[in-house]
Amino acid sequence: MRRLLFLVSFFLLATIANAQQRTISGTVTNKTDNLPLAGATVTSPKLSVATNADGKFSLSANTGETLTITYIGMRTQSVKVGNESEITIQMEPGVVEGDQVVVVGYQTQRKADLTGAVTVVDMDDINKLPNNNPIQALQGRIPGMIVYTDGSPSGSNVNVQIRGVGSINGNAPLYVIDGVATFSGMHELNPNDIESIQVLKDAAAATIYGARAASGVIIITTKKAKRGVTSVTANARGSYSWYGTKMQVLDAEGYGRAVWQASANDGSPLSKYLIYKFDYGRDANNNYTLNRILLPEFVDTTTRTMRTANTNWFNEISQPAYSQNYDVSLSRGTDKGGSVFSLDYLHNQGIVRTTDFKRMTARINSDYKLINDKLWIGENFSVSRTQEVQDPGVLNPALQALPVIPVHTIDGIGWGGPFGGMNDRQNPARIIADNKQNHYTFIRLFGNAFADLEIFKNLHARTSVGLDYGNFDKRDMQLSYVSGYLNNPDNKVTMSHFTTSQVIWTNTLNYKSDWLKHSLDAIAGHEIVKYNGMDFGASRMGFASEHIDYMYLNAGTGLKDNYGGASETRLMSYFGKVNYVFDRRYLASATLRYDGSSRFGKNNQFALFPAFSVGWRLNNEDFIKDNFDFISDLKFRYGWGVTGNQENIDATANRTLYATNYSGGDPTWRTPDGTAYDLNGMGSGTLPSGFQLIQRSNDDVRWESMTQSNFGIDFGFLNQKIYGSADYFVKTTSDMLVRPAYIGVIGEGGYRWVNGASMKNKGFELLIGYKGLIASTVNFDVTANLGTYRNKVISLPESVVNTYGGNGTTDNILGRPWGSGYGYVADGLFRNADEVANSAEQGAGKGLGRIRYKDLNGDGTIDQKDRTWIFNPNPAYTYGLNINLGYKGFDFMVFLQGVGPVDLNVYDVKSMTDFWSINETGSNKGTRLLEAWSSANTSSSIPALTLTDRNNETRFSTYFIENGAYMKLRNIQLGYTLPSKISSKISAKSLNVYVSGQNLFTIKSKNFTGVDPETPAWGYPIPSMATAGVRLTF
Amino acid sequence: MKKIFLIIAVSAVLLSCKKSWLDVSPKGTLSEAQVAENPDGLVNAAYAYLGNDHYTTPWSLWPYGNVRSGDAYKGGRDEADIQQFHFGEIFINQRSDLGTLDGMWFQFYVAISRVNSALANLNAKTDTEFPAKKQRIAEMRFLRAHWYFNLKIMWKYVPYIDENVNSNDYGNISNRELTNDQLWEKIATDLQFAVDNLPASQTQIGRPSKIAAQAYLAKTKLYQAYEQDEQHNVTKINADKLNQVVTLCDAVIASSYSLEPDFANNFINGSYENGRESIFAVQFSKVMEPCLADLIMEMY
Repeated sequence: MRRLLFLVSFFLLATIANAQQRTISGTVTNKTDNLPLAGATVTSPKLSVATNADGKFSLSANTGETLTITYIGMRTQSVKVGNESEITIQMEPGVVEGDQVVVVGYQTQRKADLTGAVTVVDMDDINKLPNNNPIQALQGRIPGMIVYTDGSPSGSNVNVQIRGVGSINGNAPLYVIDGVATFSGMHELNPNDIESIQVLKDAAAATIYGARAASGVIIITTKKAKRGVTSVTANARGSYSWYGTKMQVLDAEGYGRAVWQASANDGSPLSKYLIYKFDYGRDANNNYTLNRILLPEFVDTTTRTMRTANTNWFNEISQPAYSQNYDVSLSRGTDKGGSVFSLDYLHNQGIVRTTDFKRMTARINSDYKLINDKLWIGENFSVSRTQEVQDPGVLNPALQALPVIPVHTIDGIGWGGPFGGMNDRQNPARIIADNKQNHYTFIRLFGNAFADLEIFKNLHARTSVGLDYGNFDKRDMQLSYVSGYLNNPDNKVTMSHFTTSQVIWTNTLNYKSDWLKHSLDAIAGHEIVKYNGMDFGASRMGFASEHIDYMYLNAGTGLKDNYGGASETRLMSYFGKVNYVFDRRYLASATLRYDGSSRFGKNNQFALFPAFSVGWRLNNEDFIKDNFDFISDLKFRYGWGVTGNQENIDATANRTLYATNYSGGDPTWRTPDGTAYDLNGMGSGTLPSGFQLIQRSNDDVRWESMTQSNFGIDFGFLNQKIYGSADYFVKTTSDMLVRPAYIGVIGEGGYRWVNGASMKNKGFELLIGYKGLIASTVNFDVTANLGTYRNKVISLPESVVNTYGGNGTTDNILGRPWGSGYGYVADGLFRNADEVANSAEQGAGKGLGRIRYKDLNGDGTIDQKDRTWIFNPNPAYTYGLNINLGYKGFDFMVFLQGVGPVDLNVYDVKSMTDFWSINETGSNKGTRLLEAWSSANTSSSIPALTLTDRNNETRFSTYFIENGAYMKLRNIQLGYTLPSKISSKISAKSLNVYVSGQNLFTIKSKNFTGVDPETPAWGYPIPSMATAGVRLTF
Repeated sequence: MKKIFLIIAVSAVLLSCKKSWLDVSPKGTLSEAQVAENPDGLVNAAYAYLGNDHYTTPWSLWPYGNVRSGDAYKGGRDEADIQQFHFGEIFINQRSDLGTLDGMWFQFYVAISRVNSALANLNAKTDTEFPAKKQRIAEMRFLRAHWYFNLKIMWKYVPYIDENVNSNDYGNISNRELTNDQLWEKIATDLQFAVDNLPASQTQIGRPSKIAAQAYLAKTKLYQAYEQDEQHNVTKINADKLNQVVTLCDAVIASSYSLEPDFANNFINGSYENGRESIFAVQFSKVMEPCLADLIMEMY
């Protein structure tokens, strides 16, 4: 017994000795460049610490225990504690997909446990791009997410469409930034503040956001301080951008040639038009030919101030542009919390002259743990100030302005302008010059404050108050001018102001627990959202001076006017979600959200949004592990859920509304509908006024709801060398809200909101990547993605049966893609007399060189019955290809983005590049007119020029439908990280320099006649850019 | 345990948020009930439509009448300057989807809808609530007759809708519900009501007087007297109606109105406005933007 006791004691002692706690210290470095990794987390079974700036850590551990070292972007490593007291850990780049933690709506989850369709953005791919709106940079990078944008310097014009046409009321996804939901612009936030972006695409993931999640949710988390790390990063970037391809418009001679040809085709050639004189005759075939065009020395032949010019107005309104961006951030973390402070300044010039965008932002994120780490409080807050001179809409005028008009009068100061019978379009150079001081200033406060209390182990109560506040101010100076016969002697100032505020209060209870092979994570919450908007403005005329410092309302002496209004909406919600994982193999999740909105009818104010999803991680099954060891990751996912939409619905959709409309609007542009009348015949003064009905009530109006099923698979082979995911979804949007057109005899106020059509999107998304090493020195990572969807209207209630096109009687959009267009089929041109004689009647319009329309019903007459579906705005597919190469300190990146075949309706531009007389007759036109059909050019496919549109070619026909497919080289980038021995000389941890080019080439369809299929109409042109920058970390 | 109570207490507070918190009133607009309290508001708005004129759908109907009959040229920069009017001039491309035609149709019915809402609201008032009830009704019926008169001479057969038709039923009313004669009779009945209930002179010049109603009724009866068949042939000249026209015209001639010594005076600004020959005129007024419109008078 004694012996036994001794033995036991001996073993115990030995064990104690063996398990003796001692301090282990070590260094964590990056294997690729041997630089120390600051902020890596080293975890022993008892505690975890972070490495300091030199990558060093120390903690107490027992021999034989395992330390786990994690660092974002690196493979997690495990080290067994031996006898050594100093260990070195080299980490390899690359993420084991499953270990990534993602934010998925009021919660975080391991990516491996996700059952919804969630795409995580690789921030490294986009953080050197010169996009001041990070969402713009996502174009082509997320399968199934299409980003429509333009080239405006603010980057504000970004429309995101996730998984097809979500709703006829818009597709804007909900942005949730540090837990605060907003639909407002992302260009006002500093992209360098962003730590991660996740896109929740399916209902299983998004339903937790209920009534606002129908178009998907984009979750953005800003940078937080890393424990035990102090670091400073600084970025500087400059870009040069230019107007790649301009629209080709007629010059002075071409304009004369076109109008003369139009008249000659009509059989009575002009001998003069405006200031043009034409010398013409007949050729051997008795066709009219133009010998010479004569133009006078001065446009204004009598006053002689405007010398006849040959102005290319697109050159006059555009410029090469520069932009610059600087940002610095300081991050400091301690055991108890930390703070991040950042500043950013951006100045973007636009390629349309005078357009310009400036942004300054400041952010403070901080958090602190107290009461033995049981209470965690913090805030994320940013202030931004943006200032922009917008494009006053000068592209269309630049096409329309006549080339004979000079920019300036002969004194070089006055403006050129139309004279005599020229069209009354403004001098585009004057428009932009007079607008250059008319910038707005927008201040946005965005953020939240939160407190998180651990009530008992694993149960947290959290409350968060979020704010999104915007304050807009603008002074619009309208200067007096003389520009040819156009003149405005009255100057005017309009000062406008609006504020928007959204307060969101969220309270949640979160419970997380692991026992045995079970893992449970549950949340319950309540949320209220209150939105208020208010605007007002005032104007005044009559200013003695047009000096920028003088033109304020007080200084004016003339007419005053003002306006203002307000709106308010509220939301109230309850929600809950449970995630359950068994043995890391079987995953399940269920969500419920109950939302009430002030926008809807009293009979349908609340709605319930449920969702559930399941997953199966096959790679953790023994039969996979044993038999297919090349499979490193394999997960099947299925999810179903319902989300809602209430955006772009009037705050008062359910009400009968009467309004006063005192002035009735400017009759220059619209039919006035004022409610005031001069009953006393006084001619002026305050008039008796009344009310007009503007909307009828509907107590039953309710949410649009979107039901979505998602089948997904995540995979990784050969130790994640090949990785990716694929998803198939079916999404049904029901009861889409609409204010349908109504029969004319109802007169005024026939509008009412009704729940109308339903549609279905089905689609497929694929993301696949391949990464590895070539000759053990060059590492590569190639990812490709493809998204496609098909859209179809599946139900069409009586109230909207003819609202979306069709012939109004037998044919409607049911079964067709949303946005389909109904029109005529253009069947080429009439090329000879036989063709004219042997075709169906087209009203008065048949003739040589005219468009021939197809007689679809074969009755020998072209009329409204010969229309069919000719236009589908949904692209066949969209794709992106990203190639990353790394060699020693060099990194090289190429990104291509494209859209497959898609119908574009190019009427807005083509009606002015291909026709003299169907749109804005008398204005300048595109050079394609010179290639139009004529008796001397019978092979052309452009209709003969004519002075009036007798053939009604303005009708919507396939002539205006073109293929908008394109592929663009979005980015090509070369970077170099200086060796640490050089960067350390300036005490920097890392120094990276890079050069890149954006939109350097575009491949587009031959069928497309415009300039850029991405902005086919009058959108702000997308520039090509060259960029250089430097990124420094201390 | 205390903590659990705390949670329950907090949850109870949150859950007790009332549904009424979601009742948010619209801003800057009025409800039906608020509008009904002010019957003259809808009446004023009905008058205002007389002035809501636009060059693509002019109330004077010159492109539809004068241009097509050869009394006027379309004018403008060239043929393509509002080419729909040019097509009317040369009788081609006359389609029902031209904005100048269906826009005109809609304009008339907007005007009529304002009159009908004013009338429906007036009908619901008692004389003590609104002493001017009868006269306002007469004014509104005068305006309604004016709009239907113009619709009638533009399209001949039109759906006839008055204030008693529920707006949900509008779509069921055919333009051939009433015959040519019945449509004229509707217009004449409204005008007769105006003749019977309007004062011989109005203190506010913009409102029609009994005399104006008599003049308009005379014009209407003149159309009625020439009875037509489906092919627009005059089948009968109704002498009885013509005699009524004469009687009505005599009453107008005997009134305080008289002819201007020079016809042109009717179109001159200043002191000639609302002159002695002007029985009823649309009262245009200056709006805030000085460049938009000067004082214009339009005569009927």
